[in-house]
Amino acid sequence: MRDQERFPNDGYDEGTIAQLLSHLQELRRAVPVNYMLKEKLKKQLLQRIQELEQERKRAQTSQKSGKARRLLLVTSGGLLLLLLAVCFGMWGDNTPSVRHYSVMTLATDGTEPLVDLNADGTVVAYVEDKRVVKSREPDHSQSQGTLVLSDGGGEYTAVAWSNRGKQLAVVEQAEEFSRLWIVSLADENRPSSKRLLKEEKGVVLGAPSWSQYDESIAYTRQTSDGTEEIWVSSTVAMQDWKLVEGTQPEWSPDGRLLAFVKQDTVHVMEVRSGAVTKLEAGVWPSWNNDDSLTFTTPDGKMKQAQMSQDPPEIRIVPIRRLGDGALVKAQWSSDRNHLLLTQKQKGETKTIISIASR
Amino acid sequence: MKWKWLLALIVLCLGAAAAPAAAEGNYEITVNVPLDGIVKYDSWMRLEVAVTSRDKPFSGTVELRKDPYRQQSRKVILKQPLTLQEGEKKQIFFDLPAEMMMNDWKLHLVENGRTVKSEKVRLPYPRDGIIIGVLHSGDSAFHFLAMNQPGPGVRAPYIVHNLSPELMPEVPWQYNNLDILALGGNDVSALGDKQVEAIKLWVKQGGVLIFSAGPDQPRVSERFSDLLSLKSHEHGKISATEGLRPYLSEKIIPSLDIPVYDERQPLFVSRKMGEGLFLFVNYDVSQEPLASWQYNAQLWQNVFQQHGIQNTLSNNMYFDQLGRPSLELSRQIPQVRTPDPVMMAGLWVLYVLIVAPVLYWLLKRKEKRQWAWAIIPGAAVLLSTGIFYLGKPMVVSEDVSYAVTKVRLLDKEAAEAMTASSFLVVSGGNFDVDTKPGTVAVPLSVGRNDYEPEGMVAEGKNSGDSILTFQNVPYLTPRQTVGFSMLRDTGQIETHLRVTGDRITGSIKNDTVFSLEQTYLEVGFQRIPIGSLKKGEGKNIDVKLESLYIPRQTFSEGEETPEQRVRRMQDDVLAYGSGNTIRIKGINQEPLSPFTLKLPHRDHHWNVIAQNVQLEPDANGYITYPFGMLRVDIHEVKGDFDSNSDGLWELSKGSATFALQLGEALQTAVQLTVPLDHSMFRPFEKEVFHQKSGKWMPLPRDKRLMLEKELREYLTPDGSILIRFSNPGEQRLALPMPYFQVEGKERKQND
Repeated sequence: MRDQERFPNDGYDEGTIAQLLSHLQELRRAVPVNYMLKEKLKKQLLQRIQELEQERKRAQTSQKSGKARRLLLVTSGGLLLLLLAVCFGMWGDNTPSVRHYSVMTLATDGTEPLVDLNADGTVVAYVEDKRVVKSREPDHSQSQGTLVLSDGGGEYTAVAWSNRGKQLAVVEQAEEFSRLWIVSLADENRPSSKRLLKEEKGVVLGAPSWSQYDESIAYTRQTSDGTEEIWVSSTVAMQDWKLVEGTQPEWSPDGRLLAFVKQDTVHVMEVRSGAVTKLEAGVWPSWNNDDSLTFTTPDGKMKQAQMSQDPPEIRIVPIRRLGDGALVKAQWSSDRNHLLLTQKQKGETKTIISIASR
Repeated sequence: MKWKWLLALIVLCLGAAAAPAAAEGNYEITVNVPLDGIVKYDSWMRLEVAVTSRDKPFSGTVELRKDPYRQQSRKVILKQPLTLQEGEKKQIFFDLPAEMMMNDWKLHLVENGRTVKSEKVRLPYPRDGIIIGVLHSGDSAFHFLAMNQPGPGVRAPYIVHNLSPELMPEVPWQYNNLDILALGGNDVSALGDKQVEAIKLWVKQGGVLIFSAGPDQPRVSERFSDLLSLKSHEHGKISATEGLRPYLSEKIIPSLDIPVYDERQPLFVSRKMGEGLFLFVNYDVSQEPLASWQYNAQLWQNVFQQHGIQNTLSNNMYFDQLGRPSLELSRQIPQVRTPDPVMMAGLWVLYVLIVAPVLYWLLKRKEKRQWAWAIIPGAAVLLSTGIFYLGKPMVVSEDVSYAVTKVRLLDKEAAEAMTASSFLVVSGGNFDVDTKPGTVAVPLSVGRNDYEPEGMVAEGKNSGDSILTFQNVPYLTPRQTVGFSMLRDTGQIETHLRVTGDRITGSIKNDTVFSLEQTYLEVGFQRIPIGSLKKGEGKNIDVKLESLYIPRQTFSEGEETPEQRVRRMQDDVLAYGSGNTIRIKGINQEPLSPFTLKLPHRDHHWNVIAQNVQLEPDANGYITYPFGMLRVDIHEVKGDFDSNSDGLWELSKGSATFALQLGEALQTAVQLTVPLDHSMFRPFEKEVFHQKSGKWMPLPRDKRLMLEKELREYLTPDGSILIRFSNPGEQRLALPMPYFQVEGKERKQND
């Protein structure tokens, strides 16, 4: 706007305004007001406002019902998932699945129990170079500690965790002597110590297995003529006794039964009565429950025998994500939730150690 | 301004309204400890409080407190009611375990809530040693005993303390503050019947009584004639050579005659009485020629050893006078279920996370959000009230008590009972507990670190009984009490047991007044279940003995259920106090407790009845003391030596010497066997001490140690065999106690 237009000229403006006003009055007189149209428009406007109001309300209602529906859907879905999870947890799948493949490799043919898993599956104890017992967690590639050193010149040939996880049974072969040691593991207050539970000349001890409350250890005793016997040594009394002829003994969790191998066939003995049940061809029996055990078949599969049935029901148990290699041994931890697997690939001299869980 | 003056006046009045000064001069308190102040740490003691009113009567309580008086706070207070007339003197007793008295205590006379007199309690410190109380009119009688060397497992010195007849208590339990009581001379005539009875009962409980009598003291001996088992006696003389030969080398025995009470008896005659020992000395120790003999100390050391006094003293091991394992078990009152804290927390979390938000949402929908300020807290209050009233009967529906009693059968006539009891009165407040006559008890509450005495003890209506009163007990809070008493005519379990090889055989018969629901035979660490044994029932025994060197641990580690916890605690009560002997133990649930809650209630009982077993010889007169029965002590250690949680010893860079105590087998032992051929001992270098030559003899690696004819050459003066294990290596090697077995040939009794 130019300055002249913004700032009025004196005297000239009064005349212009008056003219404008009279012009406006004339226009108004000239154009009649359409009251009917005005009313009509007003009505239409109000109607429209009402319609909009109703639509808004409808939209709100449908929004609410939409929310409720969504809520219902979510709740139902959640319940269903929960149900599925419960079902899955209770009835499903006890199938073990490999969680840690190839935790380590050992230069052995797998016939000696040179590695064992502790009670809750968190630590592996193993014999290295037959001179040292070491421990390791499955997630770590390096050893976390050395448990026992051989100072007598012997070789360690077997290791087994106690059920309480505080001791190891270690078999040592030193010249003509075979020794079964109990090693108490070190803690923050004390170093480790060892106790010679059994020493015998002219025999080979092996495959130790702890009883229910760690009060005795069953083991294989092989005499010079090759006879394999299963003996038991008490860890609280000065007593040893022979149980049965066989090898690879394994106590059931409740201590009632003892599984063992005789002539490459798995047997189960009721300790109290001495009654023996023969199962089928297999090695390295291991208990996954109070009344069921698994063992490795000659063709490298794992089978489970249900002892509560008569005759015992035997079936193959698959292991998920099991890598290449024939299964040599499958050993359950004391909590029966973890499985230590020993596999051997064709043509290889080493064995692969893996851990499965269910 | 007026109100300021009024305020100042009020403050002044309040300040001036101090408690009126205690009229301390009106009353006198004197404190005395019986038995001339002799107190042992591991026994109960009596505090005799004499209160004299000089010129004003008194009606209130005598209170024993740990802290200075604070009226409002709940502090450790033990009290008794007392009423005195003007000029009257009365005596009251506070009986407590001595360990509880080892604090700063004060006695207060409290009348109408005000302390009118207070007195600090000054107690003698417990004696540390083998206390020999001597009651003898002769000067320096028995003082040569102070020169004795302590026995096996007893490192404390002998302390001789002279007593007079008026100091001798009339209740047997007070003699527990002595280890040995030596009597003789005419002072014995001054003892009252109650005192003599108390002494005899104390011996049955495990005390050692030495009684000396010469030819001039026939009347003196009459007081104890039943113990002597002599129908008549003949004064005379015995040659010293004949009388002292069993104890000393002939080189030092003088050639003289000793005047004796009965010339038909040896100089020393011992007799087992219940758990204790009575030694009769057939001459007057205060008279020459032996009173000042230079070899008295040596003589008596050998007498102590050969007559089993040292063994009895060693076996009287420390026993918790509060019976804490029993107290802990009594707190696990059956059918009382404390609310699960997880459930309680869960209910509150449910309310906070779900109920309260849902309430808020509902109120918001109703467009009444402001009501949430009242409704949500109100609902919380309703929830709490509901939990309280619904949950209360779930914990316990009625008043209840639980008593745990341990009975020790001493002989046919006497048994000692110790009871720990818990009382739960749901509403709390004040309640009374009756105690049977002859019971010594103290009311307790659980303090910060331990049990503490709290409550009132008053005499009951009947003579000898008392009433324990618990006051201001909070809602649903249990209170405890512990006490002991003697039981009469309980009978005994008749046993005829012997060990042959690795089996124990024989028979037992329950001739007691108790029916036993479950019975065990304990040999070392082995507990053999026998089954139930009703009154009068007998059973044959034929059991294989296990050579246990550590106890079985059948309890799983980790979280235990309430039932498992109770079983473990029951096992602790069963096992506690087991000494180096074979014992029979039975369990029942009869109402043996001396405590009765004076309210309608449900009572529960759990009792252990125990008795020591004397093994009998077999047909050839041989007694086998099985593996684990006799004690092994640690004699000396060098290097790195420790014990572990499995009950084994660990040794590296050093050696450990163990003393195998023959104990009760000492006199009869003809063969000793130690299974050192077991693998556990093989990694160690082993030696046995040859006492005769003073040298250590090496032992082979894989052979057991068996001593027969040469056994006496290895015995040390205190009746033990020393075996040393060495491990010079760095790595710790573990080994068990080298328990052993002894075979003895029965000899004729000295009686």
